[in-house]
Amino acid sequence: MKSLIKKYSLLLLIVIICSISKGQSTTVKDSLAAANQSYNTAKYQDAIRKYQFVIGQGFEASELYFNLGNAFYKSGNFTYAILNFERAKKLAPNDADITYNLDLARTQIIDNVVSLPEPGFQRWLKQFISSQSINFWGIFSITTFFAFLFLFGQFLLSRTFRTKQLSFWFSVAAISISAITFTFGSHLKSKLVNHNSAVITDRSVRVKASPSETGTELFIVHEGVTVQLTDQLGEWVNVSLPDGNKGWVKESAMVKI
Amino acid sequence: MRIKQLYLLVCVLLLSLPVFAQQVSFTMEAPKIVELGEQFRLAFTLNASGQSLKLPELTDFDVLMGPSTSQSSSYQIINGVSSQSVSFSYLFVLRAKKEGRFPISAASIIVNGNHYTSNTLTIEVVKGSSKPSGGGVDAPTATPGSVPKSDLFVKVIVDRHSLYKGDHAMATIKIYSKVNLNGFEDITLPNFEGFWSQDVVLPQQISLQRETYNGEIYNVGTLKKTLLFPQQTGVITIGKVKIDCVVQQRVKAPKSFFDDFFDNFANVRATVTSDPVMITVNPLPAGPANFSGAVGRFDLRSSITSTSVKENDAITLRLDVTGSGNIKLINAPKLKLPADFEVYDPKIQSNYTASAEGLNGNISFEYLFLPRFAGDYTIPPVDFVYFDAGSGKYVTKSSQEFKIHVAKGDGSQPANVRSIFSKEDVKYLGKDIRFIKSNIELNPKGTIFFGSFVFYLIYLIGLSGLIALYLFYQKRIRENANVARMKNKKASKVALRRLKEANGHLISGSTEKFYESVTRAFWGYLSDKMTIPVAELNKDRAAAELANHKASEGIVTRFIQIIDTCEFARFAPGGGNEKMNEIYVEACDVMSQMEKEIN
Repeated sequence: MKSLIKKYSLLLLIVIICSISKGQSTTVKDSLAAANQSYNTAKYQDAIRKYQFVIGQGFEASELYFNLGNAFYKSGNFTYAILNFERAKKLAPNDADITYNLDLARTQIIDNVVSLPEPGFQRWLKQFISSQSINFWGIFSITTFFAFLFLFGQFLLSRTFRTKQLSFWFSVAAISISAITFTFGSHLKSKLVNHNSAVITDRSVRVKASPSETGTELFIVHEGVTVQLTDQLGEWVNVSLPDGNKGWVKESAMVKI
Repeated sequence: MRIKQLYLLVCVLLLSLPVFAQQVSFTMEAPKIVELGEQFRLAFTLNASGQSLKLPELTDFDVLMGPSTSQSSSYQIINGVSSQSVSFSYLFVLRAKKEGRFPISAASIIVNGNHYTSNTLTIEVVKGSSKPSGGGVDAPTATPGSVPKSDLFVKVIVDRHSLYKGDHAMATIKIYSKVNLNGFEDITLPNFEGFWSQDVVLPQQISLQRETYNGEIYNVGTLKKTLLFPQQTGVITIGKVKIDCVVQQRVKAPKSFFDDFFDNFANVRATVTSDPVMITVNPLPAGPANFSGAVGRFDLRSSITSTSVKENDAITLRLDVTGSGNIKLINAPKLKLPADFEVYDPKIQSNYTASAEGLNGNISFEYLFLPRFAGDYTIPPVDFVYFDAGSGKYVTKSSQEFKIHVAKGDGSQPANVRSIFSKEDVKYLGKDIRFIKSNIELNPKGTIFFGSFVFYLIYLIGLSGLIALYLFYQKRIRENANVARMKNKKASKVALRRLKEANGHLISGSTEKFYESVTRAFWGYLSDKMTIPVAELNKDRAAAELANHKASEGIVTRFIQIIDTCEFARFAPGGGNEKMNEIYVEACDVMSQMEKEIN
């Protein structure tokens, strides 16, 4: 009886979530179609406004950011094109179109920042993790968890020794896989939720050695460069560039992805 | 005159050749501008002999003389072709009575029965200058050897002082003279810096014409007419014109008797320079990217040599731009050909004449190209964009679209052509971002399934499900275990009760019931003890189970023996009480032994 109530309440929850999103998106869907139409007829400023309206309504999708980035690119604003492609890439790390357009947009900016090569295994692992979406890892983790539950149940309830042995080791394997994929998912999620990267939006920024105006100027970056945020002190942010350079920049000079 | 007429008559009579009738022209000539009180000639010329001349009324002028008729004729043979021309002229000498513009209507005449009318004229009469002009010869000047500036000057006249870049203006260099101009020695013309210039062809001989300037009559000669196309914006200055003129001037010599009769003339050199002229050039408004640089009014026509060819056959597409404007400066419009066509630079030919409207004529662009591969291609319309300075707008003219069918070549000729390009990489025509995605699945911001409440709930449900299942099973097992223990505990009691029952039957002497009770006591005991249903029990199973429960071999054999004896006795009674007693004792003993041994 209890589990039945649980089941129904879960179902109810899902239905409510679905109906809320459906109800809101009727007007939003119209403006989205209008935005795409504006893009098709080369009215890029119009398209930008409409996409931003949809985002302002509290919706997001990698395709939405992708289209907005495209509109910015076409209107010549490469910095914001990069910002939106980065946002799209965050939601869909493995989309080839987004990567292509992002790379193309990066060729249009002033700075050519060469990223440092990562150690082989780390790069491979990162690539592997980001080859799937967060929800894929989540569902994978849940599936393997249920497989573990089944196998562990077998282990607990079976009488023959052989079944007990097999089911035990398989259940250990299943829970390990579940835990690993859960880590993958949470890794991606933390990347998504924690805004730990940003795009420089000021035309030219002097990066300081310390978080103050009087700090030694280390180097200059221009708009469009993507930086990792590693620390924050008041309005100063410690950034690290893909090429390994680090320094302090004012928070107002960038927009977080 | 008489002799000439006679001559003509003789010639006509002698040769009696057919005379070809010429186009009859009947014209009226007079100076356009005259001074008040000035005498001038009005002449009618006819190139045939006519009758009944009707002259216009000349009420606005005093007719001093006329009409006086004169006639001239000529006859010539060139290469055996003879031609004859006759010219009659009627001459009036008139004098203007009052200032103003006076039209003179047409005169009419009949030639060979046909009616001809002359042109009409308008004569402007202006107030005369203070100095009476004496038939082209000036009165002696105050200072000999110099010419006053008001009597001889040069001007650069520009028809427009403000224009768009690429539009044209006409610059005319004119010399104004009241003196007796004998000729020019040196003419320094401006080099029209900042313009692309094109001279308008003028007659070699500079003829002076009467014009008024500031209300006075001058003899004006047009030295040069140039079309100017500004090439830069801003204020452009046209430099000075400097002319060394030779002027015939009457020199005042010491008075002597003869001087009154003969004037002394001397050639005087006078240098005149014009004032610089400024032209403001406005930049063109922002226009389309494919603006050809043409300013004016144009028309576009296009033609193609062939629309159905074989591979590697040449096709020529020709664009003709006709109109007026800066034809010379038009850039070739860009032809958008299919990518794997081989295209050569366009051949540009222009043909134009300069006039006040600009350069009139046409420019043609011939694009030669070779389709390299068979197929059906479309050459999109070519846009020719020009700026219409009159309306201040850009105008686009499009050529027609051509569809070209390219058939496969015959193989022999294209082989050597194709061998150069034996293998081709994919040609990248341009680089652009990938197109937007139309299939968008919107999610409310921050709703990621991973890490959401439902996500963790699923784990929790699964885990609690397993725990619940496990607990339920455990409970069942425990319950089952209890039943077994109870049965175990009760087993000997039940057995004892059944043995007592058997003892009762033994005493009462009912043999069959006694054996049955003993058997049941044993089966029931084993069933309870080992949790095996009675129905499943038989001797072998019981023996095996007993062995499992670590019962000794002796007790098992004794048990089997009792069961065997009981079953045998049940179906073959006999043996009496003694035997039954023996069995009973044996059964009790085995039972107690079993109770001890199995647990």
